[in-house]
Amino acid sequence: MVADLAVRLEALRAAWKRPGLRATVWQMLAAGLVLAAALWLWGNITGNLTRRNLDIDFRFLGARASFEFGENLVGYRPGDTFLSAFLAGLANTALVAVFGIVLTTMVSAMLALMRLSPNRLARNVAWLWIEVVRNTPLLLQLLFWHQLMIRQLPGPRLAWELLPDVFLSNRGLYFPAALAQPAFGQAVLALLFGVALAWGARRILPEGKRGLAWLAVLGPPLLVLAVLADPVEVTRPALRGFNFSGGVSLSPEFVALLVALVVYQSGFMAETIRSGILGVAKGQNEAAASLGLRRGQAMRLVVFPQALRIIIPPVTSQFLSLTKNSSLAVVIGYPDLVRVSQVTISETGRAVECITILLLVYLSLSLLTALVMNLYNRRVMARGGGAR
Amino acid sequence: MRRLKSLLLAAAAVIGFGAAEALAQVAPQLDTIRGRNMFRCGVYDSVPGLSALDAQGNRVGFDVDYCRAMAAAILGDQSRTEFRTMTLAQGIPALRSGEVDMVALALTYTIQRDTELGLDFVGPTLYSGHAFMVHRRINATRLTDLNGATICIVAGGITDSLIADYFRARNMTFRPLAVENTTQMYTLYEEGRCDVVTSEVPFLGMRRSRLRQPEQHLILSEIFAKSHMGPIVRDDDRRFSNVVRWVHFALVNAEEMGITRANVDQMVRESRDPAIRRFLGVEGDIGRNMGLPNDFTQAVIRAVGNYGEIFERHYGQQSIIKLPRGLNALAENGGLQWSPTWR
Repeated sequence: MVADLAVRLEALRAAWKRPGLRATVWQMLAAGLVLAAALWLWGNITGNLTRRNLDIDFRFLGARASFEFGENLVGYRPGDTFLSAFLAGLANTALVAVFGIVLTTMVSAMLALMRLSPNRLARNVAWLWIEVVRNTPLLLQLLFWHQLMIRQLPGPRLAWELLPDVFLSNRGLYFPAALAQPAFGQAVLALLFGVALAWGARRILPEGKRGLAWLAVLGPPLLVLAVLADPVEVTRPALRGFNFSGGVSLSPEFVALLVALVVYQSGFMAETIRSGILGVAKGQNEAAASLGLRRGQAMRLVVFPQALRIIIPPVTSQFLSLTKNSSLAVVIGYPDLVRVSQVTISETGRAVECITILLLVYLSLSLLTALVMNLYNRRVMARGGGAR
Repeated sequence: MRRLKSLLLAAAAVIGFGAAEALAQVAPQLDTIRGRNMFRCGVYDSVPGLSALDAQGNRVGFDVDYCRAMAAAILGDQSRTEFRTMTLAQGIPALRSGEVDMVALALTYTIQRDTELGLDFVGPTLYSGHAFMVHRRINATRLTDLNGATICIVAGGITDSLIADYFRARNMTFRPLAVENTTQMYTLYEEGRCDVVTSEVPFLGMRRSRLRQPEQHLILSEIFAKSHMGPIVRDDDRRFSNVVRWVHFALVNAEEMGITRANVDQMVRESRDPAIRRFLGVEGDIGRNMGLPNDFTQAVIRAVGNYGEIFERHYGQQSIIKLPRGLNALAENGGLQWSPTWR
């Protein structure tokens, strides 16, 4: 009996020595701890809420919101639901994030190349830019750009007409816009049809006459346009009463926020790109030169594709901080997600719910950005193959 | 292994503690305040008239005096007030989470705040109305001239909803620019980012006097929404709600009885009027039954004076805006301020 037990213990000890089992046990313990902590936090929240006679309830999203929101892409009007107000806020946040990411990438690539340039002026200008924006707070920069726009630009009645029908004032930049009419959709469909037609034609036509296929692209849409009414309606800004109406406008708040985010974030990103380029072995440049590639070609075809592998992971986190930093918008009054949640909290008192929504939205935006960037990263890595 | 065990023990302890915490009942608010010997009050950082720092660095204002009055009533010493400065949007969440005992941000008394958000209103301590101030150069004199205007507002209040309702009902539109704090709002207005700025009449008057060229700005005489403001507390402690409401009534009652900061000591010593003696806690035990010192009204009046004195100091003849009493006069003088009977 005793010997039996000893054998079993021995077997257990042997099993414990297997790394697989040990790893599983530790991992389950760790997972249990995390779960316990989460449960405790949840219990704490619900406990505190009941003590204060509060509850968690998301039904307020269906109620009517009566506040005016200002510029928004989804066409929210007072009287719509809180949910559509949140969507309007989300659209404005996403708008700044997308434009911000695209512009930051362009500006910082330029800055990085300037930093590496043999031209002393370009190098020093980029250096100064990067050092200044990286070492001052973003909030301060945001207020600076906003004040600059509002103090330096004239009022709407004295607006500068930059181009015909393009007005710049302290109410924003107003420019004419083409609004899609029903015929627009049909013309686009016809265009797609034309492209398909041309693609087919190219296979039939003999070599040398394939250029003719392009005629097929334009045919169907022209036909549609000839039959239907104008596909687009142009609206022009005009001064009416206090302000411009018509056309499309970018508010000073949007522009200030965008400029602040791009300028600030590009300082960091330029350094990342520069370090990525410098991280590519020097021999690659020399090899490219010995093949007869010019400096620009060597950068574009040889060095940069390899630098991307170093650049992309840190740049992903910089895109994420740009998106998250856009929540500072509330300070200058750009109506983003945070602003919607502020109004909603004051109208419904649902603070916990609104903060939860904010957290979830920023989390999903970040995860989405990270996902896209990781997919891109995988492609870049795969393309490199075993080159190194 | 030992490290893990201690970790597990710590986690278990934390969970047990959390459960015990959740089961505990809320202590009565008055005991909490006495326990820390400090009355925590949420006020604006810098809104002249309501709450701002004076040249000596003291916090002064109409709302500030209400906070001091509460501290005097409960703790017997107006200096036991801890001011937490906050913006309009932060007020209600701060109160509901228990960060402060009272919020005095001149919030408008609304049914939703009272019944849905779990708040109790004190007063109204100030009756007024929402009005618009415009740049004179835009030639607007009536509310209907404001169609299409850009209006600066403070985020987190009900003003934007009030304007939205008013404009929607008249098929008018406006562009809101909602900012975090009041000072920033008036700066943007003055710089011309907005055509219009809106607030309650006395606050507009106060701010206009501080603009660079006050004569360039016009406060439209039409009132687009009524406003009746006061401090707020959570409505989960009836005893505490009673105390704050009756401190306001004490201020009004003192004015009705002609008791001021200057004559309160003399009144306590010499008055033979039983109503006054009961009010000042010389007779009876009204204060004691409320859970306060029996002479809490004396402490309140010694600290801040009566309602009329507070009003004159911050809005009336002793202030720069010289607002007439109007709706805020005592009922016996044709106003709306009155106190229930003190017995």
